[in-house]
Amino acid sequence: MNTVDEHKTIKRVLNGDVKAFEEIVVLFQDMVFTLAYRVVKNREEAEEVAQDVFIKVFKSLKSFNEKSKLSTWIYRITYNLSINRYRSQKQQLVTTKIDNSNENKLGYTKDALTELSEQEKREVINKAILRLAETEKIIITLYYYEDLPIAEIAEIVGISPQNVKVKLFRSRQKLHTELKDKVGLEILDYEYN
Amino acid sequence: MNTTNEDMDRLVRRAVKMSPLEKPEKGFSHSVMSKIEGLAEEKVIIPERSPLISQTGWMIIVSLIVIAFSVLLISGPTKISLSYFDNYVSLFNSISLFNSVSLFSNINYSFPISVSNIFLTGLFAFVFFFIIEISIITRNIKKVNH
Repeated sequence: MNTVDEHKTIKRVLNGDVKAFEEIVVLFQDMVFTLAYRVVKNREEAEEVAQDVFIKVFKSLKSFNEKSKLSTWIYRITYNLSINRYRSQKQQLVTTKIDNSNENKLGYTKDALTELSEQEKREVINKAILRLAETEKIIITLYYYEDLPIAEIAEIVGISPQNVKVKLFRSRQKLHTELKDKVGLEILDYEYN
Repeated sequence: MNTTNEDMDRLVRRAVKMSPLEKPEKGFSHSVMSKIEGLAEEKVIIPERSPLISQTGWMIIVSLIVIAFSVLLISGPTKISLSYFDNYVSLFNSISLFNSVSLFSNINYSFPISVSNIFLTGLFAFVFFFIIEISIITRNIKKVNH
């Protein structure tokens, strides 16, 4: 959906065509859910957050500034709600540690590389992303999945573009260090070339 | 071998893209839409705000005020003494029940103050409208809460 279509859909919703809002939900649900899940690390809670995001978007659609991109606005709401949920989670209980038992089974050595299936590789990558700091996860996800420019990511997470660059560099390094042996990044690179 | 930032970027991009976006449960969009539709309906059915005092009510109030002022204008600005309360006091004393209580029989009930017609009428009107207002507000609050 390009910006013109986005604005047309928004207008339809504002004119009372509530069903038109489903287009927005369907278009953004995966990304909103992924962002929420990466922060709250729990599928049920991520779904609740994602639902709250769309409800908030619907309620404040009137105040949406047409000059900005709908996706940026939705992701910013997602980021804020996810971080709020994460903070309240943190207050309620000690953050659930990611289960490492599986990792031991998957192994760290290069010898185990050949034994890792695609699914296992995905799992390792996912866990490595989940281990990043909350804002870093969001930055990595938006940068690599959505190919968003640094300035837009900065707007979403509410920090300066310079700060986004620094965080992106650090998280990239962390991921590289963690993944190069586990999933054989170089081999992956070779496979794709 | 030292990996440059560009290499790292390329490798991490490949790895990250290997892991697809998470998907919510099936029916997620339907459940969101049912909530949204509920919200939209709520928005439409905003109870119409009715005025506390209806048009007829205001007509009655205005008529009462006009009547009260007319009576005052006709009767003139004469002052009346509140000593007519003494009549009630004597009636009060004539009731045997109160007479039998020594405490009441020794009290002097005379009212030395005198007030104007306007003050009296104003006072009664204030009490009258205050009671009406309270009853209307209470009824309205009950209606909103139900």
